[in-house]
Amino acid sequence: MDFHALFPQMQDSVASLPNVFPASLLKNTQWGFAAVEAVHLLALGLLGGCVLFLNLRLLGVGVTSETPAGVERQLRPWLYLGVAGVLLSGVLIGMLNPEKLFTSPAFFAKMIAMVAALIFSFGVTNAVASSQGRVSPGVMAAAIAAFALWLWSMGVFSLSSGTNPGTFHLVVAGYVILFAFGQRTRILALIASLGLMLADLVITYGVIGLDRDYDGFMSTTKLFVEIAALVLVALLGFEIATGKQADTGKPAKLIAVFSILSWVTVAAAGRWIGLS
Amino acid sequence: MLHDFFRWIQETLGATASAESWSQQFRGSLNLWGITEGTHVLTLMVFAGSIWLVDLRLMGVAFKSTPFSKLNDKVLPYTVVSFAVLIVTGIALFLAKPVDYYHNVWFRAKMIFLIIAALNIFWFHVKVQKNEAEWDEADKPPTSARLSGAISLSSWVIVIILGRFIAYNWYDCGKPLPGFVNWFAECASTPSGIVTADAAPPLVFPASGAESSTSQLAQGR
Repeated sequence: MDFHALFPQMQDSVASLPNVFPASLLKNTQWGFAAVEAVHLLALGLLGGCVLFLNLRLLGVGVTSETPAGVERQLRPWLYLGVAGVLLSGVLIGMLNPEKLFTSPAFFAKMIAMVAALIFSFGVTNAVASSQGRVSPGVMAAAIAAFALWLWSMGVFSLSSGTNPGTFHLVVAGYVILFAFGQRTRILALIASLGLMLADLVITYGVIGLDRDYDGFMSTTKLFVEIAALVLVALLGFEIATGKQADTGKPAKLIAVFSILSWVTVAAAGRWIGLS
Repeated sequence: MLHDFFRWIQETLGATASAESWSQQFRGSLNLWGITEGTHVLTLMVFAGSIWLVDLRLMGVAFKSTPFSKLNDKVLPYTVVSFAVLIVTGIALFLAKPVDYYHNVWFRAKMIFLIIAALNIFWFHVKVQKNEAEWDEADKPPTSARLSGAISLSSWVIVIILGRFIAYNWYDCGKPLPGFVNWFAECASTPSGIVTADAAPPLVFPASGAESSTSQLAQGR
């Protein structure tokens, strides 16, 4: 699925975007596109730090010397700056390179994930942190909507040919989150993630090999990612259900995990626009 | 000497009569290079995000009510682990095209700023952090701490910008380049040698925007 499949009548309008202000100012410059890409990366870094440390605090780790509300308050201006930088530079990158993005499933997945991530950051995690971990019914409804959008983006990302290897990053990010906040499952998470990665590498590159069986290579890799994802979901579920109660409840922790994963999906899908 | 060593890695190491070198196999692999590169970029978000928060605290512009030591102790593990992943994936990516990167102007500049960032960390630990107890809770740390934070923040900003520019071939050896760039990239030891900027007509960019941005992308990716 991509934007071209949904809106084929927009092809001509999309193709003319480089001639529209402000892209028209940059299109004939040698440095313009590269400079905007660099700003995008820098803003992603700032945004990444803010999202990570706010959500880790909701998970009961990270900057625990501050309350969740305190961490949210301190990070707020930098989160706004990071999101503004990512959005403005992202719009320019899109305007300068519209036809590739219009037909890219990875870009479609990124956009859906970005809506989910923005809802998480500006409608859910900020409110949960401000109320010291409590989740009101309205916030829970927003979280469910964001989660549904994220699942949709994951469906596009993982089922589209060429982009699906990028789901590796999501599964690894899930294990890293679990390792960061887990108490009972931390060692299991480490063993499972490293074991599955090593087994996948040995079997796909060592035993199957690219030159002999391409389909076997791809299906084996996919199988490993699916097993890793299922083990991760089970470990995350067990950890959140049985983990030590911190100053935030189980719903807040669940929200924090999916908020981080939504932003990781935005970044991973963005990278696989170029790689797929 | 390093040129020859990296050329040996790129073209010979691991090569057999029926197989390319390990470097070439990694570069041409299905997914492995892409996953390594994607991991490098995604880990950069964690590393930069975490170190900038500490830098901003050092500069006295964020987390002012949190003692520096408390913030640093909580954030540092994430910075260190993500940096280790960046180093491992960065070396792997370098080994995919060592000769190209070795003669890349942006890569060389990036290494210089990495060294500056490392020296700043050393200076911070040896000098600035010596009397940390005196300013740990201060809204505005002393000038040396703020300076160290500013150097760190700007070094990593420049490292990221230069890292992104590595993908662009504006200043690759073999193109008409200013004398300084030819010297800095050691173009003389490459097969294409030195081509000075005066020897070629100036670059002319196409009038069509779509063509222009597409060609820049083709250079960058």
